[in-house]
Amino acid sequence: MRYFLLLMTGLLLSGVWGCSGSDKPKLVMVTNATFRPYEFVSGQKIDGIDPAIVREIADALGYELEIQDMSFDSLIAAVQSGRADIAAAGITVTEERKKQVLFTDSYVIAEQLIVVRRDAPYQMVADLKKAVIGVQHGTTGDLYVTKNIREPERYAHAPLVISALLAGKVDAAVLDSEPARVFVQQKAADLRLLTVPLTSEEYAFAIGKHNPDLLVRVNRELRRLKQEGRLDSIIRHYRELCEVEAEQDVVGGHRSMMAHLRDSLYVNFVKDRRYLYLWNGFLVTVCVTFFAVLLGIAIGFVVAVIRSTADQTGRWKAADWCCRVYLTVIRGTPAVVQLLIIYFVIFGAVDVNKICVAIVAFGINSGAYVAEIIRGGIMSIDRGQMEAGQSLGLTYSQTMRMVILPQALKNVLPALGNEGIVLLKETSVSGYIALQDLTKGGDIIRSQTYDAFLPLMAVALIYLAVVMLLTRLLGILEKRLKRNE
Amino acid sequence: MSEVLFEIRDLVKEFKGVTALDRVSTTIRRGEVVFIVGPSGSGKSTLLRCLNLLEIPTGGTISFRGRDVSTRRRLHKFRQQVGMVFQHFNLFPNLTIHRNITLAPVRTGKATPAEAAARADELLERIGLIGKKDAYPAQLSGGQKQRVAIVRALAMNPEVLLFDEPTSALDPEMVGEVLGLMKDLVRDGMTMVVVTHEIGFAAEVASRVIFMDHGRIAADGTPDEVIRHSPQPRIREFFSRVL
Ligand SMILES: Nc1ncnc2c1ncn2[C@@H]1O[C@H](COP(=O)(O)OP(=O)(O)O)[C@@H](O)[C@H]1O
Ligand SMILES: [Mg+2]
Repeated sequence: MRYFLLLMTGLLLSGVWGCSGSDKPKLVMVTNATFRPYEFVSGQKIDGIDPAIVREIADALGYELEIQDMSFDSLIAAVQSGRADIAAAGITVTEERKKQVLFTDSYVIAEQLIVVRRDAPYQMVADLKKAVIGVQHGTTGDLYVTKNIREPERYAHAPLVISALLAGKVDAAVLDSEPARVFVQQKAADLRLLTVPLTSEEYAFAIGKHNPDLLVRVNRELRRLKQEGRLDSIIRHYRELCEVEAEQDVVGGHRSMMAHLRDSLYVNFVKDRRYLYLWNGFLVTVCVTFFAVLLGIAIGFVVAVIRSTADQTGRWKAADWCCRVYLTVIRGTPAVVQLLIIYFVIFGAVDVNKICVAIVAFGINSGAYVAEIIRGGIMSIDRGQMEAGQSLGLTYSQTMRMVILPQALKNVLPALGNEGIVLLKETSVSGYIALQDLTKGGDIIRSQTYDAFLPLMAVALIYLAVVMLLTRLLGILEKRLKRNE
Repeated sequence: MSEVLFEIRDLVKEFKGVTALDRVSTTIRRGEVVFIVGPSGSGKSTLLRCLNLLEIPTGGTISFRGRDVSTRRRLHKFRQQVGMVFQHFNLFPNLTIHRNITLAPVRTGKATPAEAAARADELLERIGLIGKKDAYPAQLSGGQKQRVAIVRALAMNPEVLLFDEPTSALDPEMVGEVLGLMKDLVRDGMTMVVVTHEIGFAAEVASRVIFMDHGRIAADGTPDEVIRHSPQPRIREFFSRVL
């Protein structure tokens, strides 16, 4: 147990201090790395057209570039709030977005293409009136389809839209041209493109309105890159790179089931050491859960003692009131929302490690449930115990510490264990702040292989295994505690 | 006459509209063995629990050895001098028998761990339960539990011991062992205040009997005066039913 703690602490610390660097000023770029060839995760790094262009610009302007991954619909908010300096994620210039951020000159003209299954009858845009259309949430494809065709099905990222299309959940996918081409090439046997694009649009980088100076400098560098032909060569390089990779990832058509499964396993987990996404994600998940549980128990303990003391003795009224507000707010709102608020609002302006943010958010969340569990435990102890302690001349707090709490904690241990298990699974929403936990690790693999099934199964199995192990350990612990009675 | 321990004046206790004690006044001196008897709901337990301020009186005064305790701030200091034995024993199930006994003396600073341990051994020896010192309360019979609860209170060397129906939760065959221990304490000169329905026992060992009715003291005197020869028909009728 001690080694485990040491290991976890080490993991946490290396996460916190691992990202210190040189003393050049930092330029923080945010992106959503599921959009080949513009941005994608390669190894442990985010690569693609956007990172490459921004890196050239940052170098020319004397910045050290830091790239952060987050959900696409959070990008605008991130530059608006000053969390990030520049959002580069194949973002289309629209009138709505212009109201919120500054756009640089465009660096690419892109089209929204329509992908359908090879055997589907659709030929033109007009055929789609009755079709179920899948889009990536918050993209211009989403906006366009919503406005001009019909309410679409919105998925978190492009590979999920393709998975939905392949699985028959949607009839057509509207995607940016680059990724659309890559997808279709990979699944040439199953998918095809409609020849006419839905719309065409300009991509540009987004910069916060408070930072017009940066806009001017970035535009200057963009113009230089265009003139030097560097922009075109970057774009060409990544298009070709992705096309080659896509060919390699294709799991071929007419082979036996076993061979097919073996190939899928290889592509999803072995190739490019993709299992590392799961392993590293697993470590992050365990680390976040472990420290969040500790924090939750600490908070819950204090809150429960304050609440019970106020109930039983009438002291600590103000603290009790604060605790009630805390409990009401935390239990009345979803954990994801709390996580986002803590990340974007509370830690909005400061640069803290995402693992710490997640630990704090889930710890605070869990504390509310733990508090009520422990308070229930305290209330369930016979009043005679406190009376006996006090009649012996022990103080209220001595009796609480030495008599009531040990019994209460023992009674609620199964419930606390359950809370830990719930929390473990709850952390799977960490991806919302682009923390690469286990679930997100699976997402990244899916975004590279376009296989919805195996990565999801693997992630599910890992959660299941951890939960079963925890349940088992809890059972042993309970049995051991029961022995002293 | 011996020293006054408790001086109770016009004690009133109300629970949301119910008057449990209605201007009760009495005095308890060192060495007395006072039994409080009376019908159910007459306020016996409430009176007893007011003595160590487990219930906070709503009116009147209680002084202990000349000092008003109802306005005292550090109640635990006062309670260290007043032991209490409960109907349902209230042993601490998370602690061994030995730790049940040593916890309070050690934590209140009354004794060093070594002194407390030696005293606990001596007390357990006396009630013949030294073999159970490392057992947990759940492993004891009711009679054994109550005897441990009594010596747990004794370990604090209190000036007075309060008993609230100490045998009411016991199977009949275990009542004797608890009453036996209480009798030993009487012989040792312990000051005791006992709420009980064991009228025969009260008649045998009490130095004084208080009869409570409707939150008031209806009679206060020797066992003879109160139990056997009360002039009040209501009291005579009560004892004729229970004896
Ligand atoms: N905690 C309480 N809350 C409300 N009423 C109570 C409480 N304790 C006692 N009482 C009431 O006070 C009266 C006296 O109770 P009690 O002292 O327990 O009587 P006894 O011990 O003589 O049976 C009863 O009417 C009882 O219902
Ligand atoms: Mg009673």
